[in-house]
Formats: sequence, structure tokens, C-alpha cells
Amino acid sequence: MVRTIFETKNLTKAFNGLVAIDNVSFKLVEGELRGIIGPNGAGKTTLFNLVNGYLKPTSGKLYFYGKDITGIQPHIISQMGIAATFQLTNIFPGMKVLENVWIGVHSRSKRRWNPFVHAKSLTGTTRRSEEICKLVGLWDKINEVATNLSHGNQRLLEIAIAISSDPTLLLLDEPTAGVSPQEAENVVKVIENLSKTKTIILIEHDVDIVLRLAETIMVLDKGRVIAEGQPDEISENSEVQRIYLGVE
Amino acid sequence: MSQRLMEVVLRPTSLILPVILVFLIVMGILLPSSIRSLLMEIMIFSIYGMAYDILFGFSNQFSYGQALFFGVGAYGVLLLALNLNADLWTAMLVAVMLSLVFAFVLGILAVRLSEAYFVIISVIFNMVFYLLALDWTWLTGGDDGLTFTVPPIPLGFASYSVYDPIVNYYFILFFVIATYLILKRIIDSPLGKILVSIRENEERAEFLGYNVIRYKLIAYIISAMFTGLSGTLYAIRTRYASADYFSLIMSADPIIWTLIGGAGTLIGPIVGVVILRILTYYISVWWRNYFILIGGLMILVLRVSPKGIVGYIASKIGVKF
Amino acid sequence: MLSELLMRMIFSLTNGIVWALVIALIALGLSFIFGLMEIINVAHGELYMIGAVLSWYGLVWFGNFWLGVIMASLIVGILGIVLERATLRPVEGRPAHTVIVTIGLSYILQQIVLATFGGWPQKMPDPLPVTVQFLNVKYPGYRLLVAGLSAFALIGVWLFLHRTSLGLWIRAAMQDKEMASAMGIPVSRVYMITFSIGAMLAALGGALAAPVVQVFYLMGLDILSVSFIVVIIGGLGSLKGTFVASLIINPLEGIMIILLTPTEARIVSLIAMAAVLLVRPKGLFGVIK
Repeated sequence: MVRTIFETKNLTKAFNGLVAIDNVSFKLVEGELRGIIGPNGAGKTTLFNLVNGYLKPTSGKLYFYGKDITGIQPHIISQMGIAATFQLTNIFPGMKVLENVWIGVHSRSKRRWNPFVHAKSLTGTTRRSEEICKLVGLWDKINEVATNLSHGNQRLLEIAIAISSDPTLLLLDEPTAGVSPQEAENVVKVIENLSKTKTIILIEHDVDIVLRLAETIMVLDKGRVIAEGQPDEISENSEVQRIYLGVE
Repeated sequence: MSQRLMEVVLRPTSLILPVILVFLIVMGILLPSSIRSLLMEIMIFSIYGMAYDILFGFSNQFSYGQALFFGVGAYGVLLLALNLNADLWTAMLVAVMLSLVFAFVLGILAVRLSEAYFVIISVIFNMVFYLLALDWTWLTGGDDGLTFTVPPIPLGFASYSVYDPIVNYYFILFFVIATYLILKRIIDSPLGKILVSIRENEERAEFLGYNVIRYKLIAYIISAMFTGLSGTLYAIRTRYASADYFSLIMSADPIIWTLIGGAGTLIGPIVGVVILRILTYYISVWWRNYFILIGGLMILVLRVSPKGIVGYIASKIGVKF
Repeated sequence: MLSELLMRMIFSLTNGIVWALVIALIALGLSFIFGLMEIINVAHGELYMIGAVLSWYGLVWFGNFWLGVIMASLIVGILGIVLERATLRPVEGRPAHTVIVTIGLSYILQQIVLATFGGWPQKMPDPLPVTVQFLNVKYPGYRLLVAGLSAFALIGVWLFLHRTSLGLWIRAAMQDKEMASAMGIPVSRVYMITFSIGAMLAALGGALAAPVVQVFYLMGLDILSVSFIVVIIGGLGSLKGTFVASLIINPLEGIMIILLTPTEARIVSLIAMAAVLLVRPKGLFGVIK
């Protein structure tokens, strides 16, 4: 039975009179991969920031597994199983790649702030971190300091950190932004893999990638949902075509 | 090839620290009393410096008011021994616990503030304690301070007097070693890694599910407790405490040590203490205005190598902290 | 005697108001430096002190106190430009680092003065040795003059901020740096000028206060405390806030000193400051977050 795991109702966010998100309502079912597309300034990232708790909505509600999560602090939302990548790479620059992922994996353990044991003794955590690094293709860079990575690899690390906390709902904000076509292919493969076990919302500028990956697509423009449906419906939609005229 | 050799030699856990340790243990008896005395001071302040590194170097909380806990530790042990006739262990324990309590209360208020406001409030808290210490002369002796007779150290069936400088030396040495080992273990532990992640990217740590405020408070309390410990050792060594132990100059010291030695390295502040205490000890005799040097150093180090001496060396030989 | 207590209070209150105006001048610089550039200028008291010291030298070398006041303000204004470019520019944006740099600066400035001017407080002759009488109280005329001049200077700053383009730039940059820069305002030059003016105001305050409080190389410490108290309670980047806060806190402290001890009075102010910081960091009239 497919069940709704995430829902927003009349979600609105205004900044000093500028309405960034206007009365957005949608539902996500378990295992769905939903793509969100729209022109710049449509409010995609704002929507993300409302979901991951970074911003509080001006009005409207968010539900996760039926629970009202509106206005809850980001770290609690994370603990509930929602994780996000950021559009501007948001990693731990001075730490090694493995450590970056380690922190995420460790966030799910019971006695988190244990001051007595050596971190290396938590072999389970280390093993899982290594697995995730292998999964995104950063195995050979595992001991590199994060700030020394190429931009493309940093985007991969960004994803690795997001999945390290084993989320049920994963938000990916333009994961292929600024990466080479080869690296973008890696990212797409990783996302395909993840979509088997996780529910994903994907913001992407590259419409081809979205059409390829997503089961449903939502189109935002000026903070409103102007179209929602299957990929082929969307590509046929005249409104959508009008907005994207000239853009890709 | 020599790079690898340097890396091995200079990595603290391999050679340098054990060598220094052996040196300190052996030299306790052999050194002339003036050097031994200087070393005792260096060791006590090393604890203060390491405690500051946990706060600033590892969890990125810049405080200009740690002397508050230094003074609490000093007066804690003094007043308990003086007014309540407590034995040394009890007096020290209570003093450190007092630091914990104050850190908890003040920390809850301060830790959630942003960088700029956190500094300012650390100064306010410090100044209030300092002014109270100046004002309540009936309790603290104010500016003139109070002296006390330090009770002996009870160890099993024997008891040792700190008035014997050699005993005092090993007493302090014990605590320096203990402090280093405990703090090193904390840094290598999951808690330590979490603190570093907060330093590296507080926001991301929050989004990974860590209650950042709670961890900052933990770091604040740990730092305060060891600062208090250094205060108790200082009072024991000088058999004295005064309102000056709460002064802003006392608060500036660990900042200078950590800056020059290198923040976030644990041994950096020790290097900073050594350099600065030796500098002060020898230069202050013939140049009264040597503080110009210290002021200049603070500005320069921040420009040339914000990670201090240890950070600079580490980057040259490829070791990472 | 009750009437004697009353007279002491009136005297103290007047002192408080005079002092409030001088402090408002000094704190104003600090408020803008902190508000605009996130620089926590621990050396602000030393800039005040140098103003006092230079006015002393002005008197000694040129025989004219007022010439010394002008000289002090200008020299420190230039010093401010040098300091901002050389030492503070690299650390702007990291308040913790600005504290480190300015602590270093304060040490250097104190020691330079100690080495040249000396460690003993110096009295200066009264530039206006008249007494004014009101409400049965005899009050030193020079202090009233200082109050007048400070008020005059404050009005001058207000006019500068609200009637000149440079002032507009400063206010704009304080509201929103990125926007100001995008509109073509040379933000880094604005920073430099703001710091320079802030330093100048501090030195002016020091020069004017010198005959009253004596010139001493550590005279800046207390000033720093009370300036920060005023800035935080009044609110960052707000002339009105600094003015109002100073006018409340200084006379109040003055009266409290009669009833309590000076240290106790200061403790009360500090606790008030902490309360404001914790509950309403913007202060009374702050324009920054």
C-alpha cells in the first residue's frame, strides 16, 4: 500500500512583503522521486528551506508521516529522518572526507557525545562511512581534506553527507550544479540507486536529468505550483513550454 | 624522505611528548630552584591554556573572560581551606565543582549568542566577578587578597607538604599530565569530533541532527572546569589569591598563548605558554615596556599564521590536526 | 544634613549629565565602528586616552589648550585611518579576531604613552576657571562648557549623518552592506572614514575631559567599559540610542555612586547591559540585528 509520508498544506512564505512561496500544497508517497523545476527565482530553494526547517513558514503546515513538523528546529527535523543538500556547498572544510561522512553517520547513534572512547573504536560507524564514500565514488579521496577537493567532488561529498544520516526523505538541491558531464553522470547513477530505498525531492536546472529520473514533476513559477504530473505530461504542458521558451 | 622523518618525529604522540615527559619527571629534582619555579608556573598555565583551546580552538567559542573560572578555582580552594578547614582534595574538588556550576548557569545564557555578543557577555560576566571580588573585601581580601596555609596532600597513609618545592612540582606535574591525557581523549572521542564539526560548519552540524547549543555548553563547562583546576593549583602554589586573579589581563593570557602557539591543537597553547612565560621572565627585567612586544605579536601572528606556531609547522610538514 | 545630601545629588546629577554628553560622543564612534564593521574595538579607550595626552602636550608645547584639543582630534583621526588600513582591514568580519588585534593595539598604545608621557597622572590647569551658581550649587564653569561643546559636536555628527552624502553612505552601508555596495557606494572607503571619525570623536572626548579627570595612561579602561554599556543598551549604529542610553546610564551611575560604592554602581550597569544583550540584543534603538 502506498502511503503518504510527506505533505504540505497551503504553505506560504513571505519576506517583508515579497511572497516567495505562495499557497503550495502537495503530497509525497513513500519511495517517490519528485523533481521540482522552474525558472530562477521561482522559489525552489525557499521551498526546500521550509521543508528542512531552515525557514519557518509565514502560514501553512508541513506534515511528516502524519506528524505536524511546522516550525520545528532543524536538528529535530533531521533526527526525524529528513536530510538535505545545499545549493552552495556546505561541507566541513577542515575535516577529511571520511570524517565529514562519519559525523553524519554518527548522528544516528545512541550515545552521541561519548567522551570516553576513541572515535576510531566505533568500527561500525567507520565501516558505514567508508561504504557511503564508495557509493558516491569518493573512495580514493577518503583521506583528503575536504576543502582541497574539486568542486565536482565537493558536490559528491555534499550528497554523501546528506545520505550519511540515513534519511527517509532526501532533498537534493541542484546536485549537478557546476560539475562536469562525467561527474553529473555519477551523480545521476547515485540518485537512481538511492531512489530505490528513499523518498527524494530533487531540484534540478537540467531538465533532461529531471525528465530521466523523476516519477512525478512539479513546476514552480513565482512561488506557485503551475503544473504537477508525470514527466511526459509535463513536457507536453503548454504553460511549462511557455516558461521554458529559450531556456534549455 | 626527510619529510617523513620529520613527520614521525614531530608527531606528538610518537616521540616528542614522551621525551619531554621524561625530561620533566627527571628534572624535577635536578633543576635549580628558580628554573623549577618557572617550570611550575608554565605547567599550571599550560592547563589554563589547554582548557582555553577546548573552548576556542575546538568549539570556536571565543571568550574574553575565562579568568572568571580561574579566580573561582583559586578562591574556592583558598576559602575552603581557610574558613572551613577542608583537606586539600576536598577543597580542590569543591573548587572545580563550583567552576562547573557557574559554567552551567552562565553557559546556558551565553552559549546561544553569536560570536560578537558571546565575547561581550563573557567580558561582562568576568567584570562582574572581578568587581565583586574587589568590593567584597570581607570575603576576598579585595585588591590585597588573602593568604592561606595550604593543607598537606594526603596520599594513602602518608601526607606531603606543598611547602616542599619538589613536592609542589610533582603535584603540579601530575595534574598537567592528567589534564593532557583527559583532554586528548575527549578530542579523539566522538564528542571531540562533534565539537570540531561544529567549529568547521555549525550550520551543517545542526542540519545533521546535532543540538549544537548543547555541545557548545558541554565544551564551555569542560573548559571552565579545567580552568578552575589551574586556578586551584595557582593558589596552592602562591598560597594566595586576590581580585587580580579575576582580572581581564588574566583573561587575555590564554588568548595570547593559544593564538601564538596555535588554536585547535591542544599542544599549541603549551608552546604559547612556554614562549611567553620565558619571554616575560627574562625580558621584563630589562625592558619595562615589553608589553609592546606582546601587543605587536598578537597583531602579527594573526596576519602571518593565524594557526600559530604549531599550525605553521604542521602545515609545512603535512601533519594535520 | 538632608539639604547637603540634596546638594550633593544635584551636583552629582549635573556631573552625570555633563559626563553623559562626553560619553555619548565617545560611545558614538564605538557604536558605528561595531555596528558597521563588526569591530569590537577594545582599544577605543586608548584612543580617548591619546586624545587627552595629546591635548596635554598641545598645552605644554603651544601654550594653548584649545589648539591642543584640535590637534589631538586631527592626529588621532589620521591615526584611525592608519590603524584601520594596516591592522583591522584583514580581520573585519570576524569579531573574535578584531578583539585580539585591538587588545594588541591597546597594549602597544598604553606602553608607548607610559614610555613617553610617564606613569604618573598629570593635572591640567582649568581652561575656564569660573564657577556657575544654580539651585544653591556652585558648579565648575569648564564642565558646563564641555557639556555644551559635546552637545554641539553631537549635533554636528547628526547633521553629518543626515545631511551629507558621506553620512548617507554610512547609514546605508549599516543597513545593508551588499545593497550599498551594489548601489555603487565605496564600502571599504566608508569603513575607513567611519573608523577615523570614531577615533576622532573618542580623542575629542579625551581632550575635553582631560582637565577634569587628569591625564593618565590607563584612563581609557573605565571609559571602555561605560562606552560599551552605552552602546549595547542604546543599540548599535544609532545616534539616538547612544544619546538616550548615555543620558540614562551616566546620571544614574552618578547617583548610585553616592548611595552605593563605585564598583557596586558599575556592577548594576553591567547587569543591565547583560540583560539587554540576552533579551533584546538590538538595544533600545539599534538598527542592526
